[in-house]
Amino acid sequence: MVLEIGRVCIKIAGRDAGRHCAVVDILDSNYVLIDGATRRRKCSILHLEPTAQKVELKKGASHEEVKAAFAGIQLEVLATKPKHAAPMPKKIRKSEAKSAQAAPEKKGAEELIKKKDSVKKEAAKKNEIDAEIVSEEKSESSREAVQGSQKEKPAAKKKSAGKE
Amino acid sequence: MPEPKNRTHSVREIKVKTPGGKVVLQFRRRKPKLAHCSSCRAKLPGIPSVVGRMSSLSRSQRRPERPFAGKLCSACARKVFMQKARSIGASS
Repeated sequence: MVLEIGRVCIKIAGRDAGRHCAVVDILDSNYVLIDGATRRRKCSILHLEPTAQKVELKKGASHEEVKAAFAGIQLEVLATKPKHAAPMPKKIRKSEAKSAQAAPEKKGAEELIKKKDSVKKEAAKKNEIDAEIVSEEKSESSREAVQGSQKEKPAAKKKSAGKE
Repeated sequence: MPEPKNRTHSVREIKVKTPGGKVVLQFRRRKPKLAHCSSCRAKLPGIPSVVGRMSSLSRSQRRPERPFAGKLCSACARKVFMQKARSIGASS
């Protein structure tokens, strides 16, 4: 049989017509398994035209082995990239988009409020401290004043008593 | 006299017999002819003959998925590939 394992052929029918391929396995008197620049699949021998070239392949060789064999005779092989499903585009409603915009604003407001509170607390603390200082001063001055007034009061009383 | 829009070569006249027995002229748009193989002049299947909509169809709707589709019939295309395969053998 002309179509032995490893025989390089050209596919003459179908989508892959005109491309090189190698016979990888003989399935039937009418069908063979091909691989190479074509898709790896079962093919009718009527749709293959053998060439004079032959490649060393084991029966049922994998795509990688065919690729290596073809590289030796400078022929290209069908390369398929692994397909990764793209993430589904998520539809964002206008209302959701607006709320998403408002949320960072709210957060900013909360932070501002917190800052204000802390500032207030600091101010209150400062005021308390100041008040204490002031009160201390006042108490000192008041003691003096009281002492002074005590001195004055008896004088006043005397005066008032004198007047009366 | 036909209307101005019907006075053109892309419109053809048809004689139609009405239920009342009268023969009346009607006007129909001409369809483009089918595509033919450029080497053997056989009619090419898979290529529609549509009036004015060809550009709106998708690429896969306009011709089969095969090398030389729309230009050569399947038999003529096979001859081309066979020649290619035999020339490879001859050169090597």
